[in-house]
Order: sequence, then structure tokens, then C-alpha cells
Amino acid sequence: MHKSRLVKLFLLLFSALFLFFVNPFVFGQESNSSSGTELQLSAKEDKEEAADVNELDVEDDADDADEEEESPEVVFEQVLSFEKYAPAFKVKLRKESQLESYPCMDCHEDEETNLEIRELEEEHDELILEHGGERFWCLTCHQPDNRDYLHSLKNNAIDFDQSYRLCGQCHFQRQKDWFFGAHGKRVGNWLGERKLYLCTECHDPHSPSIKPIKPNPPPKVRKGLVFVPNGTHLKAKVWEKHLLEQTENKND
Amino acid sequence: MTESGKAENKKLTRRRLLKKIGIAGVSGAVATSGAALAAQVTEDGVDEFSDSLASLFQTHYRRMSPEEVEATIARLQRKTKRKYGKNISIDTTPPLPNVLLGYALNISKCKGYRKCVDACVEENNQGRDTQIQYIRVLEMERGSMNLEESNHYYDPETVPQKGKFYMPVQCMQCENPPCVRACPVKATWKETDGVVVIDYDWCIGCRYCMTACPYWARHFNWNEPELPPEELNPVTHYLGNRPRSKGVMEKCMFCIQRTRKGKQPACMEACPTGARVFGNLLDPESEIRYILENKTVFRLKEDLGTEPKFWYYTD
Repeated sequence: MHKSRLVKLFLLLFSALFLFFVNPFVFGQESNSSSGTELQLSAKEDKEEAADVNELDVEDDADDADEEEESPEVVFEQVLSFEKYAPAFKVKLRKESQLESYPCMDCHEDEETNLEIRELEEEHDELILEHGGERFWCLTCHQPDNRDYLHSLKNNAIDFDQSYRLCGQCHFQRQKDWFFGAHGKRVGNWLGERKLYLCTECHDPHSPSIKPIKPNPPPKVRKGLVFVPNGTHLKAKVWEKHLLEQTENKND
Repeated sequence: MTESGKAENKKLTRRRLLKKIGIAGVSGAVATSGAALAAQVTEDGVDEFSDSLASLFQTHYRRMSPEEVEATIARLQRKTKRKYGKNISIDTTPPLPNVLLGYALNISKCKGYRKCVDACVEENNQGRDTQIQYIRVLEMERGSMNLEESNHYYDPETVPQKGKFYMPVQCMQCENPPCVRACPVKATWKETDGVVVIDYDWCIGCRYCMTACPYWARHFNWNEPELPPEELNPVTHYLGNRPRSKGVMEKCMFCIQRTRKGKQPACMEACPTGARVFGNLLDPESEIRYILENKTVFRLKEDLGTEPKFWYYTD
């Protein structure tokens, strides 16, 4: 009797331990725990991937410089969490066409990296860093040694055109939705190849909340009808209006 | 010669048409020899009178033989050319196989910009002054679902306003559409891809469907739609966005001229927030199915049993 209970307890403990260790591999990005080997592995992957992207980009440029560029298919093996589940997609490239001062190393090559957190005065002073309250600084996301890349919290290089991998470190729930199509914008078609906008197409990474804008004009009120502001017809009683009109008429 | 020239310039009124039919009736070949009666041959090779005559005897779209469809489309193209001076294409792409179209809209993301409304009007050739808009964006009080207190005439300096949320309403393409049952002439029906369409030429304008619809999705052309020729969208579908005339119903049909070719509906393409998701409900891999299975979703007036294929969801 006693023994069987012990066995059960052991089994429970074992399964708990198993879950604890296996989880990081299955839900890599969402969990906080990481082992040394995993870190090295992903760093390697990142480097390879970065090289791949560079090569492909060069080819693209040679082919059609004017056309709106769509990236070569994003290889999903690199996205640890959802490789098996999310349908494949492409993202619209941005860094070459839309980032004004890319490649950053044109300037930063000669600049010395200043790790100090400070008010920027000469360059990039137009940027307002609202993201993350006061907790972030340029080098939280930008690679200090090679400014042509971003970097993850584990210090792996991330391409500008894969910014979703950076954002997903904190916004993993959004990232999941984006992978599966519940968040973000699909472009062009609903059938066939999925083409998505990157996070930064809509959100300014330095101040990501969407700013209010003027809406398009409202529909016209039909001829013969008068627009009654919302709620007023429910609040004012007819008899009250009637009495009000009567007293007004008397005063006249 | 001069007489015929004059007649050509005059618009065909109903009275004159009936007169002509009377004359034609005397000659004893009304239905079959419309073309043979052609007295005035216009630049497109067919005279207006025989076209009017043929459209009078035009049958229901679903009863047409392929040849009849072809002839009808050619005639409608001539008609549009005469009215707008523009060549249009009218295609008859059938529903895609194994497809049931559905829509999901993220009300956490909709900011009430009304970009979808205007894109829809431009795509679907609605009259610009009649204010037929297939989409109404309702501004609602946060935390309430009282449609009666919603406001679709909102016009603040900026949207979104604090304490409000925005809920666009359009045709829900019900699986059990009350409008279809209300139509006394079967001018409206549900296609196999689940889209409720109208044969504008078969519609008698009784507006029964308009009253049957619980979503205010059906709209009536009280006037001839005022559509500047330069704004006419020339890519059309017979059951979709081809130019309509006075006295017929129209409604959102999920932009079948676009969606049956795999393109996004105009409202989805125009939405800058990505709140709109369109897809095939029969495809378990599709984005819409992911949303329906993983998000908090609801449908409007679900209790009526109309089975709308338009879902609202939240983040």
C-alpha cells in the first residue's frame, strides 16, 4: 500500500520534471528558462540565416529594383515555437526600401559605440522612445557591434526584415496571432500565398501605439429626415418637449 | 435619315418603347425578330431599340443558357457604353469549388476610420449621392451592445474616441437568409460559396427583402445612381458590382468580382488596421478558422437563427 503510493509520487515528480525540461524546446520563445546549448544553437542559426538573407537580397536587387519587393519565403524552421503549426507566409521587405538611413553601418562604421544612456542630440534626435516606458534604450534592440542588425535579449542577431522575432520576445501572444492570421495585415489575396506586413509596417517600433486620425466623412442623412444627435431622442420625453414649447410660445 | 438620327438622340422612354412594341406587334414578330427590326444601327452595330426589346424579354440569370448569358452580357456592355461612354467587363465566374466564404472582424482593432466604407463605394459602383453604403460603422459605448444607442453619423476630429468602440455592420451572408425567402420572384439567392446575390434585372423592387433583413444590409435604389463615368469601376461581375439602375435592390456580395479570383474584398484591402479577415470556412488551415476556433467570437443577433457567416472577435 505504502509502496504503491511512493511509486505514484515518483511518477508525478518525474513527469513534472520532464515537462519542465521539455517545455523550453517546445515553447522556446515563451518560456524564460534557457540552457547553454540552446543559446549557442540559436546563435548559430541566426548567423546562417542572416547570411542567407543577405545573399538573397542582393539577387533581388539585381532582378527588379523598382518593383515592390517580397521577400523569399520565410523559412519557418527558424521560428522555434510554431514551426509545425502555423501556415507558411512571406513578409514584405522593408529595410532596403523603407528604412531611410539603412545600411546603418555606413555611418556607424566610424562611430565609436557609446553605451551610455543619454539624450540624443546630433543624429536621430527626432525619435521619441515611448516604447516600454523608461526601460528601453537604443541598444536594447539594436546590435551594438553591427548596427545593420537588431538583437534579441539573448544577444542573437536579428535581421531588420525579421523584426517579428524581436517583438515576439515580449508580445508572444500577438506574435502567435500574427503567425496564424488573427493579428496583422495580409496583403493582396485571401487565397493562396500568404503575404504579410511586418510589425513595423504599421507600428513605429519606438512608439508603437497607433495614433488617432480623422475619420472619413459620415454618411449623409436621407432627404426629408433630420439628424438627431445620438441619445437625445431617448432622453427627452415628448410631453416635456410639448410643455417646453408651450411655455416658449406664451413668453413670445 | 435625319429622322432616325433624331430618334437616336432621344432617350427611350417607356411610352415610346411601348408604342414601338405596339408597332412591332402589328408586324407580328415581337420576341424573335427584335434585331431584324433594327432601323437605326448605332456605332456598336446594334440599335438601341432592339436592345431594349431584348432586355424586356431577358430571363432569370439561372435559367439562361450559356449563349443567352453571352448575349445578355454583350447587351449590358453596350448599354453601359451608351450611358457612361466606357467599356466594362462583366464576368460570370462561378463560385469556387469547396469554398464557403466567411468574414471575421476584430472589434478590438477597428478604429472607425471608415476607410472600408469608401473603398466599398468605389469598388462596387454605388451611386455617389444616393448614399447607398453597404457598410455602416457603428460607434458604440464601451461595455454596451445596445445597437439602438449606436451612432453611425459620428464625426469627431479624431477616432478612436475615448470610451467608444467601433463595429462595422454589412451583409452577414446568412446561411439561412430571411431575405431570400422573402423575395416573391426569386431574384435573390444563396450561391454555393455561401454568398447571397441578386439578379438586378430580375428584381422587381418590392423591397420585401429589405424589411426581412435584420441587419439593414439591403439597400434600395430610389433614384438612378449618380455615378460619374470616370469613377465607374470597369471590372465587374454579373451578380456583383455591374452598374445598377433605379428601382432595384443591392447589397454587399463579398466583392465576388474580386474574391472569386482569390483577391481580397475591397473593404479588407482598404482597412489599415488589419481588423478584417476573409477566408474559406471549409479550410481548417485558413486564418478565419483559426480565429473562430481560438478567439472570443460573436455574431450579431445570433438568436434570430439566420446563421450569419460574419463574426466579430476580440484580441
